Order: sequence, then structure tokens, then C-alpha cells
Amino acid sequence: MGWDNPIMTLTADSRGRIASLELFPPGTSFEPEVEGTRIILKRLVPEETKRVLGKLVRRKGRLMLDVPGEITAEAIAKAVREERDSRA
Amino acid sequence: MKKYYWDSSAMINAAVSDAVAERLDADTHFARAHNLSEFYAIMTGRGVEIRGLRARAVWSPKDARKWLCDFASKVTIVELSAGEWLDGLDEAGSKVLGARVYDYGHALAAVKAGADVFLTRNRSDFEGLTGRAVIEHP
Repeated sequence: MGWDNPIMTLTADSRGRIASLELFPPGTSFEPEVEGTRIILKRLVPEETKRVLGKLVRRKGRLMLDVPGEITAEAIAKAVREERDSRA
Repeated sequence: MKKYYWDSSAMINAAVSDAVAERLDADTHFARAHNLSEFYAIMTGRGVEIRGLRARAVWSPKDARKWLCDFASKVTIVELSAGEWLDGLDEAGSKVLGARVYDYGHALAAVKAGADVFLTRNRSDFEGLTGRAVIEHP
């Protein structure tokens, strides 16, 4: 049954679960709104990560990135891994 | 005097940590031109997460370029010829498959430079690839 077809019946299983890969891709989250017998599921969109423009500063005679907060070694490893994976 | 090879994660580390940046003041240092591109792509693109802020730090293209100019003045850029690359693949055999070939390029450059130490924050990516160069966190 395709999403283009407006007539779609979803039946809950014995544990109250409703499944539809098309409507509910794995990992997506929904907020339910119940109005009598009508249930509206609002898909939650993950909050976008902000980008903070760092400043180039000279510290102890060296050029450094200055940002409000700490950049951890783990965050650096993750950023590089993501960049390399995006090209793979 | 020790020879160090810097991958892009080590370079980013040097951009944010005084202690890591200090390492460039002594010894001999190497990197590939490719690392400059990778650093630039990350720092002007996806950025690096800032702890606890739900935000990523990025640099303006002008600042990223300035930092890279400074870095490039402190390192020797080492590149591989097509022949060296192909010989390296031949030697690696089935040890290097798929996207690992990108990591292998860095490892081969470090070996070509005669590096004693391979500096990276992504240690496991390079295990078993860097010849006599010891893998260390910067």
C-alpha cells in the first residue's frame, strides 16, 4: 500500500504496536495529539545544530582558534571521521 | 630530532590547543597537501562540536586559510607519486579495502617522510598501516 493511497488501515498488534515502514521510518520520533477518536502524529524534526564562528587569535605568538566553550579530542576525531565517511 | 607526521585531526587539535600547537616549534614535521583540504573542508563546513553547547565551531574561509598558511610554513609537504601509491597498494594487499584506502594514503606519506611518529586523534583508523612510525595522540 503506497502513501499516495489515502485509504490505509493500520491495525495495532497484540502489544499495541502499529507498523508502517513508509510512514514511520526507523528512528523517527512523533508527538501524538489525541482528539476523541482522532489521533494526529506530528513528526518531530531534530533540532539543527548551531554553527558558531570562531575567531582567529594570536596566543603566545601562535595563531589559534578561539571559541566560546571547549572542543574535546573526541569531537575532533568525530568531525574528521564524519568528513572522511562523507566521501567514502 | 624526531620526525612527526600530522593528519587533519592532529592539525585541528593544534588549532585549538596551545600544548599541541607548541609541538610544532621543535623537531621536524610533515603533512600531505590533502590534509590542508581536509582541514579546510571541516573548519569551514561541518565544523567541530563544542562541548555542552549543541553547536559546532567553524572558521571563516579567510581565517582557515591564514591558519593553514602558518601551519604550512612549519611543515614539509610530502606527496606520493602514482608509482609509490600503486606499490603501496600492492604491498598492502587485502589489508586495505574500500574507504580505508584514504587512511592508507596518509600512512604511506608518513612512511615516505620517514616519520617516527604519526599524530592523529583517529588512532584506530591507522593501526597496522604506518610502518615503523608509532601512532600517538597529538
